[in-house]
Amino acid sequence: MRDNEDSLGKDYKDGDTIFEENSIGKEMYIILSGNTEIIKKRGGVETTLATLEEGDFFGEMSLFDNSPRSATVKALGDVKLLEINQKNFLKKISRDPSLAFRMFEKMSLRIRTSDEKILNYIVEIKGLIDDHQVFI
Amino acid sequence: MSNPQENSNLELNDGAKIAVLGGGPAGSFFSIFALKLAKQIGKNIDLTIYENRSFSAEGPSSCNMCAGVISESLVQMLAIEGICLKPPIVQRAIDTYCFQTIDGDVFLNSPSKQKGIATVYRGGGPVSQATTDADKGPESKRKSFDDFLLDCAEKEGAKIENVRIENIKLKNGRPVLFSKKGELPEVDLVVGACGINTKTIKAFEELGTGYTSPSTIKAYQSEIHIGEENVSALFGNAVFVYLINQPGVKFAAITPKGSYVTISMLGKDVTKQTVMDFLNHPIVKNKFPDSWNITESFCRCIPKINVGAARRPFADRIVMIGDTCSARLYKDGIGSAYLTAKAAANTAILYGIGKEDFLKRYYPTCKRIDRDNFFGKIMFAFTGIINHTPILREALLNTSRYEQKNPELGYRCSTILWDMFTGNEQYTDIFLRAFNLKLFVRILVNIFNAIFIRFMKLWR
Repeated sequence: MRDNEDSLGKDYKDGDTIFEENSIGKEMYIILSGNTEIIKKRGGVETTLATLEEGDFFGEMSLFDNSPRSATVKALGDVKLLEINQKNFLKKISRDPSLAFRMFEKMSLRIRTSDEKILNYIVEIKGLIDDHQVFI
Repeated sequence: MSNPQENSNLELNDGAKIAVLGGGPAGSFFSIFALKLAKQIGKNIDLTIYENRSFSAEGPSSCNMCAGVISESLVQMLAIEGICLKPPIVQRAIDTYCFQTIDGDVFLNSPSKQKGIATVYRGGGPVSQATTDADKGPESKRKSFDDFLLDCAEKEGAKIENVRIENIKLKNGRPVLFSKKGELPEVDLVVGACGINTKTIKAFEELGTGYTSPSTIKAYQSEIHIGEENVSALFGNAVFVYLINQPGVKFAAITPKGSYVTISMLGKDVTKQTVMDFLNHPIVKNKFPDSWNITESFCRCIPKINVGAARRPFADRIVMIGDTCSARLYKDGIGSAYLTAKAAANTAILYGIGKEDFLKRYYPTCKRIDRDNFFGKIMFAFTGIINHTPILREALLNTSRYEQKNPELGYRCSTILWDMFTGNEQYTDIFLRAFNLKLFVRILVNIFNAIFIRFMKLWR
């Protein structure tokens, strides 16, 4: 009982969907405790793109570009999330632009990780193509 | 005072030394942001926090003495910064405010529909009065908010010295610090984060830079032990604000925390007797367990709170932050500490540490808080009028109740009350939102209703 009364934010149980890919959302989330997974579905196949942990945030892309959610986010175990709506978030950033420094830092890190993954896939595909040509 | 032209060259170079006087939220926030930013731009900064108190011990001597309510807005900003508040720092997560008047009450739920406000202990908590084993367990796990922030600052690389700074002097334009043991090593920048309830603030005033501390009034905080089960059953996740027209009392609130409730009172000459009278008021007494008797001894303090603006809160190599400079009127003192500390850290690391730098880059943040407080004073004066006028009180209460029952109409009145008493929004925003035709009509209808009901009673 006490555990809930002194915990901030909203509670999600294991497997709960926080939001679906292509849904419209005006909130970003910060993980206060637990883990979430970012899932993308293509051709009926679900692929986990990343697992986020305490202190990480997600859903921020829709706040900046007003586009539908780019992926589905699900709770991995019990999760507590702090929800920040778009209007409040933009108000905060307009008053103190340096508030976005940590977000830029995290987003840069994500782009670097994605670049690295894409590069690895390209190298892997090139290797497969070369092998295939040798075989022919 | 040196020439401003020379001051434009005052910068923090690699290896520069910063002394932060005070390890409360303002000092810790400054240290966290300054060290983070310095790291980002590849600058090596040697930062020491001087704090002679321990925030982990029980009682007022180890406490920074405030109601300990962190607004939803600040909880969110800290989370974005990577400072997530969790138990045992959070003593209770709040999603409801109850406005209790003589004519009845109204419960306002958080517009964000989540438990977004945190109640915390500023020190190690009240002098322990746990009576049952069930209470002793969780209380021993509580962690002070100030202690937590100090740990965050230490993790960023701040050194913490358990030393009281007795005096500050200027030598060749450089501030020199003195402890009981004598002169301390030379520093490049001194940050005044000592708060207005310490003696150190005098040392800044006597420095000759023109700094004058802000005007203050006294608040009364008391921590009353009623046991965790009673706190949960009677107060839940709600802060209770009392507008019960008690003589000499401007504002009274009960905030639940662990197995205690914090009673915060503001007004002219509030004493222990005023608190006892408040607790004995039928409306307040009704909120406590039937079997509970008011104990004569409870943990209490009478801190000064900032209600004005400091004069010249900066000079070459010196900057005052937190409530030694500017704080939001009656509310969100920790939020003001965050804003001023961050603005000062950004200025010192990115621009310079001269008087002109602080004037241009830091002072606008303080002025914004001061300007906002002007509207806060108007809003609180209006609340005072409502508190003393039964028809207005009833009309406001009924307007809020009507909005809570009919959410499709929008929470115009409720969100104004919510933002004002939670410290969630700037007073200027709340003031401007109050000028709304629909809201005005709603309140006017309820005023006519209240007059009509009184008239009918008299007629009968």
